[in-house]
Amino acid sequence: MNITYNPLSYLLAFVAIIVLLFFVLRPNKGLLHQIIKYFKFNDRVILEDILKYLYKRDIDLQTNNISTLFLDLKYSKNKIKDTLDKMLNTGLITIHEEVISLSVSGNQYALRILRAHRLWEKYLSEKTGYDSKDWHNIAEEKEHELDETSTDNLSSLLGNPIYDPHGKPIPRPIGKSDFLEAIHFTDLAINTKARIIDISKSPELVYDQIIAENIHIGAIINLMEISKNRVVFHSENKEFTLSPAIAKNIILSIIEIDNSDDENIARLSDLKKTQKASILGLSKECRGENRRRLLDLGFVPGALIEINLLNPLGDPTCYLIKGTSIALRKKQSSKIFIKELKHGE
Amino acid sequence: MENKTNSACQTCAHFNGEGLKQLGVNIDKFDFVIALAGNPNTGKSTVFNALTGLRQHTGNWPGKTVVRAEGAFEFEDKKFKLVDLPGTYSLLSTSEDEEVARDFILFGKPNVTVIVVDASRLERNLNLVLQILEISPKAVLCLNLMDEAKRNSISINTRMLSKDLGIPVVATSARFKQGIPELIKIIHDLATGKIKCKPRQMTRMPKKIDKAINSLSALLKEEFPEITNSRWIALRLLEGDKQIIEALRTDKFI
Repeated sequence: MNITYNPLSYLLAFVAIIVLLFFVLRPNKGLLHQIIKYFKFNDRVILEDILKYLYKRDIDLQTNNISTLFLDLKYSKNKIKDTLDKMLNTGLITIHEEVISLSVSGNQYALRILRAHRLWEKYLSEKTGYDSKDWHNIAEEKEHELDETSTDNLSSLLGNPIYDPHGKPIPRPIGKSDFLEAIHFTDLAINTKARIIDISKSPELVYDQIIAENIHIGAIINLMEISKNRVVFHSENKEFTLSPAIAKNIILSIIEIDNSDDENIARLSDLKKTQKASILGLSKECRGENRRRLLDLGFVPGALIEINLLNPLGDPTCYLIKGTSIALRKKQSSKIFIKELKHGE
Repeated sequence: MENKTNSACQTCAHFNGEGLKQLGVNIDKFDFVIALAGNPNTGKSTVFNALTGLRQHTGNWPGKTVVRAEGAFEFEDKKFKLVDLPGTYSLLSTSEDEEVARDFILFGKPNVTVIVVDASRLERNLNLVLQILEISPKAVLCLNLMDEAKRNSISINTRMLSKDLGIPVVATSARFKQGIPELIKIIHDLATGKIKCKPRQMTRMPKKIDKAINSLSALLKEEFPEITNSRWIALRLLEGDKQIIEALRTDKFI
């Protein structure tokens, strides 16, 4: 008996099944995941997301009304309306002439969630191997699952950290957070120095652009020019030009004391092969075990450093410090401040 | 069965039998316990093998995933137990390795700590050395990989180094079995008290911290008179080191 079969058709069928499975089981956007997410959504999560949204926009000095909520949040209009009513009834928000504002208790609630979020990011950064770009998304989901006791336990487990892995302050238990007074470029006078204390994460494109320009939280800037078309400032020996729409996402705080010569500070990631430098210190963004490890390996103030080997792909780079070659990724070397030494120094 | 008589050590107040037992080290048949510490890649295992030959076995530290190697050697009628600590860059625990190493030196109180360093990378290795000197009064520096240093034209004034650090320094090249007899002699002499060392301590400190340490260490000495390194412990308390706080609370120091 001769059973003939065409191997090609079987192969095609196999590929078709794989493609189908891909669309269903894809980690974040697959059909299965969407279904799970849909059922996971309960009302508390929606309420907390709205709280966070209102809180963040408050910091960004943006007004909230129902239409902006409809636009920015991905829940159905009915769901949002219902939740807002609930929040109004429980005194978490007040609505005055179409403008929604958080009450004191709403503020506290939002801070609690923010605390859980930042603590979870800290946990992910210190105790797990997740990549830094995933921390925010994972914490976005986890923050709803942590109640007050769990959050406090988490905080003591991590040693009660003050900053999250991005250098942003973690709100304290009584709901007080040491937020420095937030201003924008438009509030700054020409030739004044300020420190970047936060970079707004939305819209995501703007955030990515700012990060790509190598602008960091904690950096000191000196405003040179501001007009309708552009914002120009100096920071860490470089000049930056941004459009006002993008510059709006950078949140600053005026620094009182003008002691350090911050304009001449450079980061290790900027060091070139032929230059020698001495280490000035580690950035505040570098915390916990990373900081400890770098210090133990010899990245202490005063240590001489130069590039030993360059990677043809650009990252990581091998540095010569205290007689040893240590390889660092750009993510790590960008958190180390250096002072370039001129020849003969 | 011949019952091994108690050595002079076991009847002495400084003997830390209980502490060592907790850490899983059986000291019944031995006179002295020697810890082997140092940075990774300094040739510790080679030194370990050179000292113990085939008389060794490996296992795990109790409750941890870190590997431990133990061995023994005899010299002038004294039996020495050698415990190989994990290679670490510092004792300020950020990982299990460092926790194990620090706990052993702090609570296990070995009779002598041998610190193996890479002679061709002395500056970075000294970080661990200085930390160990702050908590352990009896240490000897094993300046290993001398052949590497010679190849890179690095020569080290071991006498000056010994004077500066306050502990004996032995230059070795464990791979070629050079310097090992001298090392064994020094270990023996230190353990039996024939030679004493005065390890270098941290003296320069910001005034505010110094004040805080002084008052805290005075209180510590009152409460725990057996503690010899109260200043170091005071500094750890100021840092909020949870393990030290817990150890004080559970009387691990007594």
